[in-house]
Amino acid sequence: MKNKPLLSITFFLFVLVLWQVVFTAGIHDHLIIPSPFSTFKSLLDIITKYEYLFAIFSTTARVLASFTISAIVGISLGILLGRYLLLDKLTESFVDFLRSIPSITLFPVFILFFGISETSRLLVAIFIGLPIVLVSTKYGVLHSSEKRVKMAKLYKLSGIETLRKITLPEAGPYIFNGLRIALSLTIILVIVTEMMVGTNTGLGTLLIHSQYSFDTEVIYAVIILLGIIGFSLNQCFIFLEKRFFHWKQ
Amino acid sequence: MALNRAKVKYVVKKPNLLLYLLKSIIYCDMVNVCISPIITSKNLKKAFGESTPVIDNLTFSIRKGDFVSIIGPNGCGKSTLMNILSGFSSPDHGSVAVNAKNIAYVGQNSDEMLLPWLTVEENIAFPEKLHQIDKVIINNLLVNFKLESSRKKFPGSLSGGMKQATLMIRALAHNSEVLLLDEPFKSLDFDISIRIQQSLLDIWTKYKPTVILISHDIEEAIFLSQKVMIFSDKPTKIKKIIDLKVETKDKNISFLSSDKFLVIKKDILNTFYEK
Repeated sequence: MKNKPLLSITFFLFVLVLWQVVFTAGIHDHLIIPSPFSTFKSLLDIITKYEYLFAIFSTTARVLASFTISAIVGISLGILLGRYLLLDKLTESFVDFLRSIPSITLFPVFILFFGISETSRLLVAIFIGLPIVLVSTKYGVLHSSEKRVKMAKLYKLSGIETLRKITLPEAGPYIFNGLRIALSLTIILVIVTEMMVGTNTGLGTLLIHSQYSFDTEVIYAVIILLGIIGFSLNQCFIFLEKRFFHWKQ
Repeated sequence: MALNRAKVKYVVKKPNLLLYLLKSIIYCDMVNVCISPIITSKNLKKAFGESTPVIDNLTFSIRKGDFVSIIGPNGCGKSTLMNILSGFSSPDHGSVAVNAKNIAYVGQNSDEMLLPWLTVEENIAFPEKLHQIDKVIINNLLVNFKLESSRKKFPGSLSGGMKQATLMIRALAHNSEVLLLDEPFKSLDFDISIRIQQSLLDIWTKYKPTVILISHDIEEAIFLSQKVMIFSDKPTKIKKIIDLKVETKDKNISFLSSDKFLVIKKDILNTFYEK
């Protein structure tokens, strides 16, 4: 539908108006539900003032670091497992088991091993991201059309060339989807670990500190900011998908 | 006036016996290579499951530069044979040898053979890059098959016939020594089919690749090939190999309605239907 952006914006405005109405009606204490205006003013502060910007920077750095590692290691292992079926059969159940463990429950374990440090935090995020990327990649590699791979034999392509020219492009959409899911979960886990013990930086910490000091506007502002970031990332992914994987119906 | 006359020298060469012997040996060798088989199969057997084998004890050989059509009833193992020759599946027993450096294959299902993330041009060039292929031949074929305007389109937006035509161009464009064609004209309309057949014949006449064509259309087989191999029902055996003995230059529109054509067609049909 051509009017989609217009319709969406209208609905957002409707929600804002509803929020203002609830605030003005004083249904809850103004400390619990702040006014939309003051919330957005806080939001503006967060994205402009230095002390807050550093929080955004820290969280972003952690997300980038753990996501990059999850992506690189996950894709590499996924290709290996997709290529060598014996390895896949060996490890399939174990990977499934690992995936089922809620990553945050491992935070105490990592703290025991690595102390209260960035490593523990990043490991939690990697623990949830990596298996997702791995499984998606493996699935994509396994399901690339057999006939096309045999076509590679016809053209006397080497193993690596087959991987590069046929298997990987075909697995592309699956890998991409895996990365998308892994990224959103990585962000969540990074923020959760920031809300827990052991750091003074990051958006999660900002949330907890604002809770203790009853800065509810900041809490809501951070939540809205995270929503905006997630939404923008999703739009990026949609754009990239149209650009590179339009051929996959 | 003095005219300038070019001085022409006539040199009489004394025959060199050693050179003559050497040349004959080399010539014999060349001739030998020319008529030696490029595709051979020996005692080939292939079965799916417990039922009757589709191919049983099949032995044949095809010489370099031949254009052979294979005609047979449905399910008799023609496509299975093609799959074995192109390396997509392996036989249960027996052996097959294809002595060629590059082989091209065009199947019935174009979706499996086309890469959906590459444009028509890039698919044709595959596995080389676009700048590494002979653009002139490709251009001519694209125009001839009415795909000029679809060069930069992706297979997802092409019709079945256009996809099949793209695969044919890919097969013809890489200067392959062997062309394995499994009913390539099946889903093409009459106009494109004729154009492709003509291009195929032209390229064969010029470069003489070895072509094996599985065809459901007897007239097409007679028009294009030199030999027709008629296969029996499964387990498939070669009933007869008919050598058409028609020069390529004689194959034109009038040939299609000539007596000779009808005689050949009758012969093929008789063999096809006899037990």
